Amino acid sequence: MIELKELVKRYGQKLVLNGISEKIETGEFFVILGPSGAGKSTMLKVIAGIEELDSGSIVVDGKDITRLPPEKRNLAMVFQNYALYPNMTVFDNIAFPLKMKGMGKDKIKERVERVAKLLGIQELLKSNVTRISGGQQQRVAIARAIVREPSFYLLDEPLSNLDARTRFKARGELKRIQKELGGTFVYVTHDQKEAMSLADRIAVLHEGKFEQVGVPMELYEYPKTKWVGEFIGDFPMNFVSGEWLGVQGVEIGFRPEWVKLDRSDFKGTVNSMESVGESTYLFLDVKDVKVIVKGSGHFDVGDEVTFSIEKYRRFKDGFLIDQK
Amino acid sequence: MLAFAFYPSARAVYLSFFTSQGKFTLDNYKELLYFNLYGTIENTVILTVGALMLQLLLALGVSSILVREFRGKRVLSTISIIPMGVATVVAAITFSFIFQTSGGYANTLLHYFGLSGINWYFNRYLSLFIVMIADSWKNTPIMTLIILAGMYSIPRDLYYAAALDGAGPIKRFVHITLPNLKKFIAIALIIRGVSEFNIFALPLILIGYSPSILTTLAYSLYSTTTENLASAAAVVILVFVSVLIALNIKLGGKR
Amino acid sequence: MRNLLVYVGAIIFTLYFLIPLYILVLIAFSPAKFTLESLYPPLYFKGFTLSNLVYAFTQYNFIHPFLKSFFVASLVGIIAILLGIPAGYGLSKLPGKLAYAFIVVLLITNMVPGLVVAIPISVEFIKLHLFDSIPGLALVQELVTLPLAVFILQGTFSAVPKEVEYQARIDGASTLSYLSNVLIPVALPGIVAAFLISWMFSWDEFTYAVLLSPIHPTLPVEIYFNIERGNELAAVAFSLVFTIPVIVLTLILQKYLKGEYLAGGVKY
Repeated sequence: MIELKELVKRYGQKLVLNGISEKIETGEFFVILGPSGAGKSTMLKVIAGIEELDSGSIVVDGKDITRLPPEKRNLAMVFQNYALYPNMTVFDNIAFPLKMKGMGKDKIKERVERVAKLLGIQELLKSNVTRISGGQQQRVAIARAIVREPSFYLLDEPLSNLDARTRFKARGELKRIQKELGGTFVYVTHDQKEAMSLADRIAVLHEGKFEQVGVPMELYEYPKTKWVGEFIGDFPMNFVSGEWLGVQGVEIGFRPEWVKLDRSDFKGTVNSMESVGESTYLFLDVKDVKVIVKGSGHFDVGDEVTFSIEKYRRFKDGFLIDQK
Repeated sequence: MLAFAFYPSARAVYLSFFTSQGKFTLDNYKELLYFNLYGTIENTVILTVGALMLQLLLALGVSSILVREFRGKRVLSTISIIPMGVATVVAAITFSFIFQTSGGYANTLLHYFGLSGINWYFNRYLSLFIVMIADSWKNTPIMTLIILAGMYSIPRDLYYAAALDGAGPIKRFVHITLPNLKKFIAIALIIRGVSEFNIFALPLILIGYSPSILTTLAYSLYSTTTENLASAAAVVILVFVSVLIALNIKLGGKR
Repeated sequence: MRNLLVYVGAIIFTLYFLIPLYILVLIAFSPAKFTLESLYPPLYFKGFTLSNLVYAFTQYNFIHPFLKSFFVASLVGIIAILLGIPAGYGLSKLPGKLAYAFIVVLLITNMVPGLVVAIPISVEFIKLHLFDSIPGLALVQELVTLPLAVFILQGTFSAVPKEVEYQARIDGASTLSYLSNVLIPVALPGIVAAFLISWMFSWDEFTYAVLLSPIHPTLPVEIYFNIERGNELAAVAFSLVFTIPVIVLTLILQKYLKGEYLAGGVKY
């Protein structure tokens, strides 16, 4: 178990981490999600010990590691650019952490080969790391992280440098490896789709704080703040005045998926649209407010569309007031 | 490191204000005037400016060829850096053979065309010109590398656009190449300028002490008179070079 | 038509760059009566002889200046690397502005005129028994080469992504084992370039050498002395032997001799 206690980190005047506390369970796939510049990478660097905390502490399995240098923390990290050692072969890259531990040659060979097999890169072991594809480099980086059997893993957007197709495949594989190892993964990304499909729990990082922590469905169904509602989901949640549904003094939030078309409650004009598979998301102008709704079939700009809101959440001052 | 460089400089300034008996004096500088200081400064400036211009012209020529694609480009670019590998002393000796008044190869060439040989060291301007030629040969490669880097930084599209707008090769050179190279040329001139001011072996071998330039003057004073007098001459060099360095930093800071 | 112009230019410049070397070879391998002793020496080989070279290397002292040059240059290269690697590594970790300031200062050092430094230093060197010695000369030449070496190494080290260093730390490497296992192997081409450029500079260096080591001179100074004494053929022969290794090195180093190294840190 990793316990983060009141983590605070400043860069000059700028408060990057503003008192973050959370417990991450052993074996959990924990995703930190946030827009770029929210401090995600700083968070990982602080946990890894590359950057020092201004205050707060980090406790792993009951042991305080706040003041330990990175090499003593027994964790592994996968960087966005993989940070492979360009002067070494694939084998030497994976073997490096074991070599640093002073492990015997035979044992290193056995461990490296086992991990290479797990990731399907046995054939590459003798190759130079600069001569293999991006997807293969990413596997080497993961293999190097796994080989030392660390107490937990930090992953900094490890899939973002891959092309769309490879990324999709790698996503599934990463999840499989995590389950097979039973490892604790702390995974950083700005891609909410990736977070939703990988995470056991997601923490949404916004302005140096975890705005909400929960399982993916909970974030989707019950976003704690308007900001989370807009950030999570393929399309942002719609927010309109409560008076639309005759509720006073609150705002109403509803997702594009929570409406039914061809019901006469509301009427709007199609401003633009975007197709996703069989569905079409329509950007409507409704009483001077912009609303996104999900529909199916064919539409044109300027069409009149009617719909009803089937499900909604109530927000006051930007915060959710409905309970699960 | 810094102490190593600045202490001697400070020491040189200090020495230049004292007699060899350790008394404060301005006489060293007064005495320099007897050694034709003004003429020497003039020579140095002529040499520096002349050599820089010559190198710049040659470098612009070589670069505008090397920036194109053609068969044999690699050969030329290899050959064009060879002078960099030739030691200054060796370059100086070679050019002294070429420009010897009797038995020089330059005169042989004139002879082929039915002209009589020339005394290449006839007056100080000609002598300085010979040094400029030798120096330019040795240092064109460095200039070329800087200018070429500059030329590569100019987007090709600019040239295509200008050609479509009806600009011929010369107009393109004047209106696109030169303005875009301005910064590179300035940097190259200042950097080379510092070194040009310090050139020593080349004039020493080619023309000896006459006409003298600041470095050869300082050296002849060093080997014949006191350190104090030589230091005074060195300080004069330092002043000029400092101005150039200051210019360099100012320009470097602006980028 | 356009291409023709390019080729004509290319040929003219090729001749321009090569003719002086051709003359040097011509004088070295022709009998003196066709070169130095004739009023209008021919521009082509009229005769071929090795006797100039044989005479020069048997009658004049070549080996001592050669060895002195070689040892000084090698020492200069080694010191440049030994001091340049930690300095370059340190600079590559400093924030950009600070590092730039340091580099500017270093390159100013590099520009201080040799004569200005050498004259007062000669006085100190006599006191310290460094005058005319190999380490003394090497140390002074370091004034010029070390800034350049630091600059090149700093650039090479900065090109290694900082994540690689983080990764090495996380993988359990200390700073020292990161340097020896990762950074130095990765930066090897830059290190070799820094060494060779320092070596070449020292090999070619004249001002400090003539002022600070005139009694047991280095090869360029010896060549100069031979010219002064009128032993021109010896000077030519020595020049040839002296030049060949440097030309070879220059050609090997071609890809490192970039404008920005020579421009001394002023990025465009």
